[in-house]
Amino acid sequence: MKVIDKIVHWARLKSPWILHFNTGACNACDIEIIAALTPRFDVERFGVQLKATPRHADILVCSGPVTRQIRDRLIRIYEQMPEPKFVVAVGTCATSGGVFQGLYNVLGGIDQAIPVNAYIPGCPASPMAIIDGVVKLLKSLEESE
Amino acid sequence: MTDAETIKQKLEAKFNYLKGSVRLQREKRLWLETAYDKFAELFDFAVKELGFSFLCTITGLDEGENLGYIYHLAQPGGIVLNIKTRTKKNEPIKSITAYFPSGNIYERELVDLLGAKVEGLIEGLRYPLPDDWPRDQYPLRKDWDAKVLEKGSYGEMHGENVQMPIGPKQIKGPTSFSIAHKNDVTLPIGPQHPALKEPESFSVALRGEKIAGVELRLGYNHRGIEKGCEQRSYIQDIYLIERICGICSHSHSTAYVSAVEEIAGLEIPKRASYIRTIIAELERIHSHLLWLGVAGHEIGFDTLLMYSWRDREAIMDILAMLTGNRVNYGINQIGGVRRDITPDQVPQIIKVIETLEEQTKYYIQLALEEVTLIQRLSGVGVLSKEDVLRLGAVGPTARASSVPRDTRKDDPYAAYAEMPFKVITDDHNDVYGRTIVRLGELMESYSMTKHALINMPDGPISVKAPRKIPAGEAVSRYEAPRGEDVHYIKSNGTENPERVKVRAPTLANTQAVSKMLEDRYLADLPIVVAAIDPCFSCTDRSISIINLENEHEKVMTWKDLRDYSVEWYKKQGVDFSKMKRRQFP
Repeated sequence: MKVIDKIVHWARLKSPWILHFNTGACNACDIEIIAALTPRFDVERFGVQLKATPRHADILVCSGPVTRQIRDRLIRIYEQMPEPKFVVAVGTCATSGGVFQGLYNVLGGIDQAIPVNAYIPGCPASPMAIIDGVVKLLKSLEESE
Repeated sequence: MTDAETIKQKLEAKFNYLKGSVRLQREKRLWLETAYDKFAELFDFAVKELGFSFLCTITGLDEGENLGYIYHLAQPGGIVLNIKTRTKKNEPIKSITAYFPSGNIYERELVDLLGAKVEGLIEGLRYPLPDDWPRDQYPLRKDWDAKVLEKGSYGEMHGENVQMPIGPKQIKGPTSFSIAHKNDVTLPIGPQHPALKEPESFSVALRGEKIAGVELRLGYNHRGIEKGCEQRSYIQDIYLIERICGICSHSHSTAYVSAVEEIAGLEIPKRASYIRTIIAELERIHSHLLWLGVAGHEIGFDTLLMYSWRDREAIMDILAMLTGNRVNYGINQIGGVRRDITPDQVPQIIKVIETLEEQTKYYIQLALEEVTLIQRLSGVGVLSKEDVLRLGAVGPTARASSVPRDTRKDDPYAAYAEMPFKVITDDHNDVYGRTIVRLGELMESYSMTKHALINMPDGPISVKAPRKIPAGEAVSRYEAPRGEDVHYIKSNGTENPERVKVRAPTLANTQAVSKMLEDRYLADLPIVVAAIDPCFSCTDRSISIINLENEHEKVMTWKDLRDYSVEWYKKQGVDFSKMKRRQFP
């Protein structure tokens, strides 16, 4: 590995920027994601920052089942993210469809539309679980190199 | 004689054929049925003579050969008049938007989900179904089969009857959103946008910095819960309904169980209704603190976001202690509540609430004295009292325009009839007023929670509920943190409900948003939208339309834009035409 690659890799692990996207969730996971960013839990300790656009983001944090209307938009947002990109599915319905399974406008979990790197179950996933999931994802990236 | 009985007499005196058929199901709930040819006259009388000035919602029912419609009208005093009527499936009904502009949304829903035909409905973007949903498939019809959506066939149905994505440009018609002048710019905002936490998409027509028109497309969060409820049992539905929205989950589940209890004739124990009230007020506290933070964030005051969300965690801890979960509490069951509040929990809760009271006093002082906050919020998103009444806004949005519309007072449920509290109103009519109202309501909620905790009667917390609910119907209203939430339940004597209809508060407020944005600066859009405390996962529907003269318009695609810029630069002496666009794999 070249020195420059090492630096890039180190920087990537120390400042993973996230983009939060609601793909049809009930808002519960979304407020827990925001709660994870606010003082009590404060994921910024790990360099995690919420960004406004997919073009700045390394990790796409999705909550909720994929609805028919959101599917194409989700794929489009995923495609706008620069490589390497990672997807975290937060909540039971993002993982599998959860309580919404079988409803006519729901396709199922996030993996029905885009590839997912980490699943964080829970209804809603608590901020502690979200932090745990993000840290585990970072660890697996560290080991992968 | 109660007011409802007087109204019943007036109705029977005016319309002979109604004699004996007006049903007073419970206090403040009137039900009647009429043939469709006599409906218009009756509706006009109810609105103009009897003072039913607010349309809660319209419920559509599939009754085999016919489509049934129930118009739920409410009075400021809290009496709800439910007018039922029906037509054959292929016969149209007339739009009631002349009386209630807000009815447009509810009628659009009838068209999309039930295949009703509504004459005089303003054309617009579809809701709540996806853009590529076939036009001839109506999911709420009883004979509709979800098999048509299975892989392949959904694709095959992409035919002529599909309205493909997307944008207001495709809408034609005199009243639709369209660009008024050639110089206007349409700016798409959403579904993913930094200012919005939930997927919704605005098309904003801009004249300079000013907003000339707004078209709102919701439905990104539409999951089809109403249909799902019909396929699940009453007990499963509690948990599904709770997940309509994670912020007002207790609101939806309480409204639902109250309606089911009314049909089943269950009297819940007093202690249970007190516990429901306590959880409801704690939920309001967490929701209003959440809103305060989000509002701070939208105006670039992130310190406020961090402060109020830090305080909010204290409430989340209490909710987790009382119910076992931070969000989606699952405390309600049909016939009461699932968990009791133990005596040793009471002082703990009161202690936290007293700390929060001090904090909130600081926020109130901040709101009253901080010059930047006042200047940023005053005069933004103005909605006059007349507009509130005309557009049917609810909750703090209505109360900030001096309309004391509060279901807790007008139509008390749970233990609210015994709670001492003031309805907070304000006459600022703008976002600043809405901030003051919410802060005031926080203080009321603190004192109400304390009152309920101290005066909670002893006794059981639930009664046994039957698995099968007898045939019947009920409407329940609930004052969610965002405004009035309406549930209509129809049962048929089995384990599953026949129809569940939910009208979330944000749906009633979306009309008001367009009005507030009219002729305002684009930079105000985030805070104005945030000021109604939108909850689009509750709403999942659309639509609001602003009149603009329909002139010639041109859609510029990506290629057009590129060609235009190449031409423009050529005139400046730079030639970009040889440059290749980057190809995506």
